[in-house]
Amino acid sequence: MDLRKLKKLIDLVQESGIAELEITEGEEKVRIAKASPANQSFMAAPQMIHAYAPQSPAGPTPAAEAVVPADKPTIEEEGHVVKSPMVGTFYRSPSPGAPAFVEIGQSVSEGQTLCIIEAMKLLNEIESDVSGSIKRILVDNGQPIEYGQPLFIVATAA
Amino acid sequence: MPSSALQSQILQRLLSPSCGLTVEVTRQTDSTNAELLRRSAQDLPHGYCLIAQEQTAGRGRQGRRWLSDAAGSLTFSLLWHFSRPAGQLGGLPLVVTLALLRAFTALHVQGLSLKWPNDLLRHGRKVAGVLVELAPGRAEDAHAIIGIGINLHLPESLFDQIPTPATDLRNAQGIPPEPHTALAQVLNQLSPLLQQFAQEGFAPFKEEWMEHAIHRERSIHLILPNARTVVGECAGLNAEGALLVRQAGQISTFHNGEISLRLAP
Repeated sequence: MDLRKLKKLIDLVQESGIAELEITEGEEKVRIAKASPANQSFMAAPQMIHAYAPQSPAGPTPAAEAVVPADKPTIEEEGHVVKSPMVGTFYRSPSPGAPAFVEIGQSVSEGQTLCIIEAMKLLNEIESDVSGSIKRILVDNGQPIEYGQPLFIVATAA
Repeated sequence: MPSSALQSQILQRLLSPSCGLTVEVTRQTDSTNAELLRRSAQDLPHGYCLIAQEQTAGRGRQGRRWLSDAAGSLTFSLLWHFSRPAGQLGGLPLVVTLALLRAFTALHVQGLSLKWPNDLLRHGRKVAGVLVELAPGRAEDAHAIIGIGINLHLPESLFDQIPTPATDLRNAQGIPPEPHTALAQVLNQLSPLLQQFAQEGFAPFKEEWMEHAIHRERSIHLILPNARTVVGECAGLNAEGALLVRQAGQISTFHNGEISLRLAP
């Protein structure tokens, strides 16, 4: 896919109301994600694994830029992705010093608690929505996270 | 009157009929939030309120304890069914603290203020705390368990065990609010606010909340969950209840953190 086309797609995403656009052309795959307004804040931390682009509320500055190289598998291809249902802070254990809910390689069943997301003293235990084993943990304990941010990859026994 | 005399029939009579709440008083439980979480898988009705005479393992966030006294604390949890997903409920703990402030203002308690995100203060010391937990497994229609702890009248020995500056709701004559009256006042204030929040979100409450915030337009230290400290001036809240902090003319948004006023004059 040539750069002009890519630029056009980025503009399209920026001008539209959509948050994410994924296009597959033959073996090439491109995903463009627009950051949510909350991303302007300190939440756009360098630890984020996804290159969310900062979104300007006011203007025509280039916004969308997260491009996944075509030859590299997207995290969706690695397994089932558990995403955050809310903005907040990611906690791997119920309290500091307590064992983590899950570790890499561990088997999990559907409905098992994976982590806690906290925002403004609202605690949300995130459960696995599939059975499988934890392949990757994409966020560090105590890190700020965004709505829809991938947290875990669960390899399902297909 | 000690809260060991709490009677659900008396409470139910003091509740406004429009509240639509069901109250249960239990003698002792580990934590009313934990108990409602365990029971939430069953068909508990919307507006179910569990009140404990005594909590043996009251919870704060991140494994902290909420210390209470059987005779001088109110500890209870309220189950509320929302038709919104978790991502839209960020301002909920703030709405609850606002209801607490309204309730105790109506009971003529002086010197109350709010501290983001979930503390009710009296003369700058904590008198009540809120912890909201979502029942797991509900993506689109969150069921919130709203836990509230209120210090009506705490013995001095307990203050020594509480790590943060705390006080209680006794008046100048040393008399605390009567427990049934206090609880009914809180629930009568809380229910309509939750109904409004369910419809309109946090935005309608933002101005009133900040009017009572102890850190309003003050310089603050915000200790983030990763232990980093942000120093700046409190610039209010956004429409979801997140804290805005101004640093060198730039405003940043925070969804978590502990505000310290002691460090900042």
